Amino acid sequence: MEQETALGERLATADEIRAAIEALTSTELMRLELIARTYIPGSDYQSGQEVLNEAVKRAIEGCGRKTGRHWPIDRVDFAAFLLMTMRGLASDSRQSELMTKTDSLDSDAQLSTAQVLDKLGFHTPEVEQQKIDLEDEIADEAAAEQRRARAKADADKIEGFFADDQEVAWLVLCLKIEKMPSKARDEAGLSQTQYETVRRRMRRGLTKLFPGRSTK
Amino acid sequence: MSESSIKAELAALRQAAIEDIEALSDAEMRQELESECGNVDAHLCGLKSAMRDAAAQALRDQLIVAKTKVQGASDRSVVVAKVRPTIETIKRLITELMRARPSVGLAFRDGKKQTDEDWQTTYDDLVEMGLLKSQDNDHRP
Repeated sequence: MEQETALGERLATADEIRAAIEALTSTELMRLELIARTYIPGSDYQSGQEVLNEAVKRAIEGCGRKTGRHWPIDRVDFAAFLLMTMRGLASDSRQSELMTKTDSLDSDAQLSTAQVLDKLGFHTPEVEQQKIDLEDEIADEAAAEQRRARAKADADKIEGFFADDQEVAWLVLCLKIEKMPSKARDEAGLSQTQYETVRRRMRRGLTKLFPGRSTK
Repeated sequence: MSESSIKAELAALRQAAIEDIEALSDAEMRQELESECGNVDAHLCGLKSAMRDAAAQALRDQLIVAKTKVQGASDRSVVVAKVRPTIETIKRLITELMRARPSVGLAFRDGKKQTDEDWQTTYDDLVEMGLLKSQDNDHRP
């Protein structure tokens, strides 16, 4: 069954995704893994591998369905699609496909449970049980609090790690304030070359702090 | 500090890190990974293999969900192959289906050797899901 975007772009099938995985070059894999590791701080993921696997899982789940991630195969190459998918995972953690679906519900407080379920794509005969499951999940503040605590702990860990490297600590502070690397560079008063050198040291420090290698 | 502002801070650090990674040459990436993992090519093979497995698992999960929906949607009894063809016929039918629909092959085989019982169980599942027609000749119970 062929899927299309609203613009009429063809979306990849599961077989095409599988073939694209096999076709990934060494360069693409290296870059994907290094980037995947940057999503570890503040998340449930323990390794770049896990982040990549989750991106693949979401892509397969999107095939033939409205939910999940959709790859417009004729417009976007597979490595770029995986990068975009990983970016989408950044605000979730591993078990939060539900969180992704409920992100848009914050402003929909007046919807009934049935309307919420419809919005989330629950159309199965076991809807009554799923209503209960959904309400339990949404009400699970303990899990949400854990995520907040983990994000804060990781942010504090980063600050502490670079305490003895003034240049990196300064860049980290500027990034936290400005939120955009280009503005942070200007704020830090660094030339492009200095910025790139300090940035490299920061990234390598983050890799040491969150090694992100699979324990397998 | 709110969760969203912490996430925004982490996102800014991540963006700077990604910019740095995107500026790395092939040789630089290889050198970094080599210092961590040793044999980079073997490491990348493992990475790809794990992604392949993740795709296979996601497909299996989808098929299980589809099977559950098919079973739940019908008020009539689900047609189960009570009488099966011979094991050779089962293997032929499934192999032909996998050639025509590789995603089915991926979900059910994943490169592992199948026992006769695996083939029969797979046949039953595929008949239930409507991907194969029940064969009522060349059979034995």
